[in-house]
Amino acid sequence: MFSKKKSVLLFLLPGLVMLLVFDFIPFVDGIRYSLTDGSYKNAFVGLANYRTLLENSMFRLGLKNTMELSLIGAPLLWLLSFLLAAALGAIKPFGGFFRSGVLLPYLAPSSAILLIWLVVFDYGGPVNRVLSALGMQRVLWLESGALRVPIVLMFLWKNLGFCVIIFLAALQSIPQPLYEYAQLEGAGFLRRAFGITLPLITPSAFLVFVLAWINAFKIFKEVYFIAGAYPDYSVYTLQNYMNNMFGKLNYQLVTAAAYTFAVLVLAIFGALFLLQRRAARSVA
Amino acid sequence: MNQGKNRSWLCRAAALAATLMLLIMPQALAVGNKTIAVQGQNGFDDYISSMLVWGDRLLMTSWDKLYFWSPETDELVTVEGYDELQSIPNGVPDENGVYTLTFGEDELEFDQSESLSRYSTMIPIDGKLYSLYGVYGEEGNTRALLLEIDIADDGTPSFAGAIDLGDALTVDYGDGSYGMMDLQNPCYADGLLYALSYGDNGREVLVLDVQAGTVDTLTLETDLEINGLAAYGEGRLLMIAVDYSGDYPVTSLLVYDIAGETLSELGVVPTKGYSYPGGVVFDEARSLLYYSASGSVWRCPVTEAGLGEPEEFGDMPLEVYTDAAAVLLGDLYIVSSYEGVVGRDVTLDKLPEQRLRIGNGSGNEQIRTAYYAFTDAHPEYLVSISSVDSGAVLQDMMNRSEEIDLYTFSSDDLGFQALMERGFMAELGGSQTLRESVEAMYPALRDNMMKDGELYAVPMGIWSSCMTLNTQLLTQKLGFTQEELPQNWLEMFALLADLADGRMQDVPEASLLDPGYIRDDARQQVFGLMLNDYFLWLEADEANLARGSEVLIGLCEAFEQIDWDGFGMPEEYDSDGSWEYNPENIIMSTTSIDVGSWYEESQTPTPLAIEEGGKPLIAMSATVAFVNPFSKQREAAIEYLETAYGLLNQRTLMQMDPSINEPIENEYYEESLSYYDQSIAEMETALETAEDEETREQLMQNLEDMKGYREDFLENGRWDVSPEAIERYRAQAAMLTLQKESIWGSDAYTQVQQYLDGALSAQQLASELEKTLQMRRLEGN
Repeated sequence: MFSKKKSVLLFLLPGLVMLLVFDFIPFVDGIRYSLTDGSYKNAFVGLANYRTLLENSMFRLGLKNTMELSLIGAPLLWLLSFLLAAALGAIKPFGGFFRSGVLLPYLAPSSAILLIWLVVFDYGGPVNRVLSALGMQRVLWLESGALRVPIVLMFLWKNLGFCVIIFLAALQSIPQPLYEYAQLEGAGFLRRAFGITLPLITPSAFLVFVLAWINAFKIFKEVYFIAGAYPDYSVYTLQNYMNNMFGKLNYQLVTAAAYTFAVLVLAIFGALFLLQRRAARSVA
Repeated sequence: MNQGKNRSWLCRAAALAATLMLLIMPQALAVGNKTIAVQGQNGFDDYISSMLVWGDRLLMTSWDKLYFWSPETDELVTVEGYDELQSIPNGVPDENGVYTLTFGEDELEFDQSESLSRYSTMIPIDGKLYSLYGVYGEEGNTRALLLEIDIADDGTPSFAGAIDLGDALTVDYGDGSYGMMDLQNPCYADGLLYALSYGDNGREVLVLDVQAGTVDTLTLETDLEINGLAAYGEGRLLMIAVDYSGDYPVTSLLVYDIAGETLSELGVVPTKGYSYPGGVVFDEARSLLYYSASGSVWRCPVTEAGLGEPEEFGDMPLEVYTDAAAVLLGDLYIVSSYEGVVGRDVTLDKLPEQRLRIGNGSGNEQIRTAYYAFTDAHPEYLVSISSVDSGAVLQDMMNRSEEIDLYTFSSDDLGFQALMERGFMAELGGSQTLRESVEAMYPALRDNMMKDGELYAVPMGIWSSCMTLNTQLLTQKLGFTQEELPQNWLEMFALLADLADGRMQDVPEASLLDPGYIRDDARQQVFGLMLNDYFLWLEADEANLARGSEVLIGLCEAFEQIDWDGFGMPEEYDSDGSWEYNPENIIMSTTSIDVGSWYEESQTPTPLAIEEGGKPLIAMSATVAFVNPFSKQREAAIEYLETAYGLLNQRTLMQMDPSINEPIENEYYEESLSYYDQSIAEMETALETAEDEETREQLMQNLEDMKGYREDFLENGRWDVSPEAIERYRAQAAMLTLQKESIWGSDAYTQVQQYLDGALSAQQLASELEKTLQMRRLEGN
C-alpha cells in the first residue's frame, strides 16, 4: 500500500512533529524573541540585546568563568575517570561492589550532597581543622575565591561515576588476545596502552570528554546552592547571570545569552568533532 | 374581507406578543443578583456570623443583631430586641439558692451561682428556631440548653420553649476547666440534627436527638476535615471535606449513608490555580452544587456517578472566609463574608458581555469594594476579583497573558521594580484624576510610580515604621541631655556603649529591649535595625554605593565597642521568660509612622542617619495597583482603578499627599461628650439624694473621676487626626523612602550572621555586601 520511503516517513512523522513543535519552532521563536525590546510593545531592536550583552561585564565574566571551570573540570574528570576505570577493571575481588559504589554520587540528589559539602568546607569544618592542625591558615572556602576548589571537587565527585562506567565498558570490550599477541611480539606497557588501548577506546574517550564538558558547562546548581545568586567573582557563572536576569524579568537578555552560549558551544564541539575524526582516521 | 384581515392581524399581534412574553418571562421571573448588605454602604456596619432561610426570608445574625431580608422587598430589616436574648437575667432564688425561669411552656431550674449566655447562632429544627445557650456554673462546668425562639409577625423575638441537653456538649479539659462544643453548620435529616464541632481533627459530627435531648458523636473514618453538611435525601448526608495535607487545600464531596454508616466519595470540587472553593451549597431540587472560587460563582451537576463539569454563572465580589455557611433562598445562592452578604441568581444562564478580571494579591479593600460602584455604572461587565500572588503576576507577564486586567502588588515585593523597569505596566496617563493625584504625592512615592514622566502605577496605601527611643528614660533617669540624644547610628552605638559601661546598673528598672531578649538576640536586633537603615541609605543615592564599605566599617567598629554583657541580659532563654511590654525599654524596635498614630509620651520615633550630618530615612512600603499592559480592556481597568482610588479615605490620602491637611474630627465626639455630661448629671443627682456618708464619698470620688475623664476626652478625643498629628507626620514624612527589593533578604542575612558570629570581620562583611551590590548594578536591569 505504501512504498518503503512513505512507510519510513509515516513512522517518523510523530517524532518529527514533536521535534518541530517542541524544539524547532521554539528555537526559531527564541531567536525572534531575542531581537525584541522585551516590553509589552515587543518592538524589534535588531541585535541591540546582543550588543548590550557583549558590552556587559558580568556577562563576559560569567562566560569566562564558565569556560575556565569547564577547562579545569572536564579534562580532570576525563583523566580521573580513565585512571579509575583502569584501576577498577583490574580489581577482581569485590569488583562489582566498587563499580556500583562509584556510581552512587551520580544518583544522589545534589541538594543532599551539598549539605555534606557545606559542613566539610565550613569555616570551622573538617578541612579547615586539618589545615589548622598542619599549622596553616584557615580558608573561607565558601565565601571567597577559594570556592572554586570545593565546586570543582564536587563536580568531579558527582560526575566521576558515570564517566568511569563508560570507560569501563570500553575497556572491557577490547579483546584480551590483542594484548596477549602484543606481549608475545614484545610490546611493553606503554606500547600496548598507545598502540591498542587508546586507539580502540577513542570513540568512548571522545564521548566521555564531550559529556564531561557538557556537565562542566552546567556547573551552576552547586554554586547557587552554596553561594547564592551573587557568589564570589571567581565562581560567577553564565547561568548566574541568566538566572539573575530572569529574576529581573529581562527575558530578552536571557534568551540572547542562551543563543550566544549555544553558538560558542556548537563551535567548540564542532572543533572537537573534527579533531576526533582526524584522530580516528590517523589510527585507521 | 376586512374582518378576515383584522382577525389575521390580531392573530399575528397575539402570536408576536406571546413570543415576546416567552422571551421576556424568564428574565422577568428571574430574581437577579442582589447585594444584600455591604459594610460601609447604606449605613450597614456589621459582621454577619450566621444565615438561615426562614420561610421566604433570609435570617441573618451578627453578635448582637438579627436581620431579615427578602428578595421581594430587597430591604434589610434590623429586628429590635434580639440583643436582649443574649443573656438571661437571674430569677429570684429560694432558700436553697435555686430559681426557676419560664421559656414558653417549659420551666427550668437554675442555681443562683449559674449564669446563662447565648453560645451559638440560630438553628432550625423541625420548623422551629433554636439557639444554643451555655449555663456556666461556679466551678466553670457547663450544661447546654436549646432555647426555642419565636419571632412574631412584627419580627419581635421571644423565648418559646427549652430543651435541656445537660452536659452532652460539655468538654472536660482535664485541668479543672470545662468548655462546650458548638453546633456549627447544623443540618436536620431523618428526625436528627447533625452539626459540626470540629473535634478530632474535623472528623467529628454531632448527632442530636432533640426529642430525647441526647447527643451522640459520630467519628468518621476519613483523613479529611469535614467543613460542611447538607441533607442529601434518602437517609444520606452530603459532606464537604477538605484535605489540607497538600500544598493547596483540596475540597471533596462525601456521601454519608446514615443507616449503613458508610462514607463514600462523590468527587473533587474542581478549582483553578490557588483559589479553592468556598461557600459550597447543595441544591437538592436541582441536583446542583454551588460554590465560589476565583472571584466567580459556579454551578456543578451532582449525580450518583459523581460531579459534572462546573459552569460559571456570575461574579463574586466577596472573599468567602466566614463562619456563616452559604444558603439557598429560592433562586438565590447567598454568600456572606466579613465585608457583607450578596446573592447570586442560580437561574441566570447568560453572563454579562464583558469581563474584567482583577488580581488583588495585596487584598486591597478599595479594590474589592469598588466592585459595587463599577458594576452599578457598568452592568455590561462581569468583574471577577481574586487573589494572585506576585509569582503568578511575573509568570503572567512572561507569558504576555491578558487574562488579568488589573493587579495589586506590594512595592517591596520581589519583582515590582523589575515590572516597572521592564515596562510590564500600562501607561495610566490617560486618566487625569490618577495622574493629578499621584503627581501631588510625596516625591519618594511619586517618583517610583512614574518612569520617564509617564504614570504606570498608583499607590493605594502606604506603611512605614521606625525605631523609637525612650527619650524620657534616657534624659530623666539615665542622665543624658537632650543634646546627647543620638542623631545618627554612630552616636546611637556610642550611647549604647556608654549605657553598657555602667549607666544601666544605676537604673535597674531600665532594659535595653523587651525584658525577654537574650544578649545575642538583642545584639542581632540592634545590628539589624542599623542595617535596614544602611541598605535604605545605599539604595537612596547612587553616590552612596561608592562610600558604602567605608561607612559600614565605621559603623561596625562603633558597634564592636559595645560591651553587650553590660546590659545584664541573660545568655539563654528561660522557659518562663517574660515577654511583657516594659515601659522602661530604651529601644522599641519598630513603631508605625502614621498620620493618626498615637505614641506613649516616653516613646519617641527616632529615625537615625547613617552618617554624621546625614538625613535620616524612614522605610516605606506601598500597595500599588497597575493595569496589565496586555489587557484588552485597558480603559475599563483604568476606570475601575479610578473608582477604587476614589474610595480611599482621607487619612490614607493625607499620608500620601502633603497638600491634604484638613484635620479629621472624631465622628463620635459629640455623642461621647454627651455621654460624659449625662453620666456626670446622673451622678450629681445621685449625690444630692445620697443618704449615708459612705455612699456620698464614693459618689463624689466617682464624680471627680468622671470629670477627669471628660477633661481628658475634651483634650484628646476631639480628633481622629489632629492638626498637631498632621504637623508631626509631615516632619516625619519628609524622611520617607520607598523600600525596594533589597539584598537584605537574600545572601546578606548569612553574611551578617557570620559577622555577628565572628566568622567575618567588618572589612569582609562590608566587602561581601559591596560586592553583591556592585554585581547587581553591573548586571544592569
